[in-house]
Amino acid sequence: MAISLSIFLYLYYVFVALWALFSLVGIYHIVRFSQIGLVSLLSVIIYVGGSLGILNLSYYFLSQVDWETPVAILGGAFKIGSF
Amino acid sequence: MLSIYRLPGIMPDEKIIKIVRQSFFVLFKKIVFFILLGMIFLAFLFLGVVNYPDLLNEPVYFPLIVLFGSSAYLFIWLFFFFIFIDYYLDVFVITSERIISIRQEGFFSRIIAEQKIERVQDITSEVKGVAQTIFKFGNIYVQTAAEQERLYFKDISNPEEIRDVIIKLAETKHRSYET
Repeated sequence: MAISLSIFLYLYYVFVALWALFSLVGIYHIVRFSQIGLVSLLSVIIYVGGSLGILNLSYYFLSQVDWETPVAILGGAFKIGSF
Repeated sequence: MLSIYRLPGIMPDEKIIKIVRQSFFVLFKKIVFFILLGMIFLAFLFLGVVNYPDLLNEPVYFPLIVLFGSSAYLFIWLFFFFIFIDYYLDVFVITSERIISIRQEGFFSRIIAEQKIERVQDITSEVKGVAQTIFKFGNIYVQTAAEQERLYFKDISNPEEIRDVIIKLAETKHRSYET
C-alpha cells in the first residue's frame, strides 16, 4: 500500500498550527501580565525572530521536495531508494 | 504586574518595596539544558549525513527528516519560551501593605496569593546545598496569623535580605498599630 508523501506535510501543518496557537498564548501572557518594557519586548522579538528563522529554513528545504512521491508503507515498509 | 497600576486590588498609599524573581542561575540551568538538547539533535543529523551522504538526495527520507527536524526545533523553541515566561512572570512582590506571590504554572494556570504585612508571624529563609550557597539563592517561607497555607517562594536571590526586608516592614506596621 502506498500513500502520498504530502500526508506527512499535512501532519506537519497541523503541528505548526498547534505550535502557533501555543506561541500566541505565550505572547499573550507576556503582553497581558508583564510590564511593557525592554525585556518583554526583546523576548517577544527574539522568539518571533527565532521562529521565523526555523520556519524559513524549513521552507527552504521543503520547497524543493516533490510531495507527490508515493511512500510504500505496508509490505514495502517505507520504500527506501538508496539504502 | 510589575507596574503599581497592575497590582491586584491596589490599596491607597500602597508602595512597592521590592520585586523578587527566581535566581538567574535557575533560568541559566534550563537554558543550558535546551542548548544541549538542540546540539544533541544537530549532532545526530550531522552523523546521519556523514555516514549516509545520499540521504540529502533521498526523495522520501530527506523530506521526512526535514519535517521531523523542523517540528523538533519548533517544539524546543516553544518550550524554551515558556521556560522564560515561567521565570519572568513568577514574582514575589513586597509592598508596604502586602506580600503578593504570583506564579505562572504551565500554559494556562496562574496563581496569585497574598498576605497582609501586619499578619506576618514568622518568616524563614533557607539556603541549602553547594549551588544555593555559591550563587546566593534559596527559599522563603512566610507564616501568617491566618490559618492558611504559608506563602512559599522557591529559588529566589538573596533570601536572607528579603527576609530582613519583610521583618522590618512587619515590625514597622506593628509599631504603627501600637501607637
